Amino acid sequence: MTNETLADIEKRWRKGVLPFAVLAVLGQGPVHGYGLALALRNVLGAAIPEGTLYPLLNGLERDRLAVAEWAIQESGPARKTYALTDTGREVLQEAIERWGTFGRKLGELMP
Amino acid sequence: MTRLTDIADAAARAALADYFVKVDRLLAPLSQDAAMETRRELEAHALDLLTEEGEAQAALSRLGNPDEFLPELVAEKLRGRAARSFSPLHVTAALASSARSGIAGLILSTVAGIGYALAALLITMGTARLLGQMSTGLFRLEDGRYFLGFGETLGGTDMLGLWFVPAAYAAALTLYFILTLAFGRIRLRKTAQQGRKPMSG
Repeated sequence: MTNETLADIEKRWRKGVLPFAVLAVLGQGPVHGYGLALALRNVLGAAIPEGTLYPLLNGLERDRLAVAEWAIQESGPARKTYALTDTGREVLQEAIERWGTFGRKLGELMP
Repeated sequence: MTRLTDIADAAARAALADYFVKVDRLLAPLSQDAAMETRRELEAHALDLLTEEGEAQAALSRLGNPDEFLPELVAEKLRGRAARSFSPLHVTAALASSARSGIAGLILSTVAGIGYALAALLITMGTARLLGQMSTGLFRLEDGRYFLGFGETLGGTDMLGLWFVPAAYAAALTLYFILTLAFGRIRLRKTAQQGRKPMSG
């Protein structure tokens, strides 16, 4: 298997976990778009343009999994910060459990 | 830095200004408040990236081409607005925006558009009957089949008479409300599946 194929596999799974990863970061506390992108860089690398997080955040807000509010900063521009709602926390908790099950089952396939 | 105009480097300021001209164009279908809110959010992100990267093109490349992620965001916001207001104007704007947001959005708009056209046809039929066009209505043919007549008739028995008018209006309104609710709730996830693409312009 070539490095190119491996890179493609890795890129696909990084993109696939994006919604879960966003929920997980929000689960650590309120965060703005740039902060979210920073937190996700280690997980996602440079595969995803950071602007693509905003449709995702909008979807979380629309589905009432997250709420947003503008926070005035001492320095720098005002920022819209996102925080999980109770429903969002429940979904995250369930997603963590399912991820654990998925990881175990995937692990069983490994040689 | 709190605003684009605070950027000291003229070239970087110009690059970001160009980028946000494109952003403003893409956000134009939204209400002024919604467009301003999204722009402010992206501006803050761009300024953070500029501070981090030190170079405008690198910062904007990291943020991504707005043509790649804003149409989906705008279309989703417009569908949400249409589902809250049920205004035909908002529905029309949402249909147009979704159709421009990509293949999935185009298919969604086409399917929803066919549904709205059917609702409009029912209203037209109800109105035609109200205005005395007797060949418009629900008819039962001699062989037992039912036939929705509009303008021309195959004969048969008029099943509803003038009750066809409220029935057609009620069916149209029900279809309109159900379609608009569904249209506003549907999720199209495209950007999360996209990789980085080079910025153009």
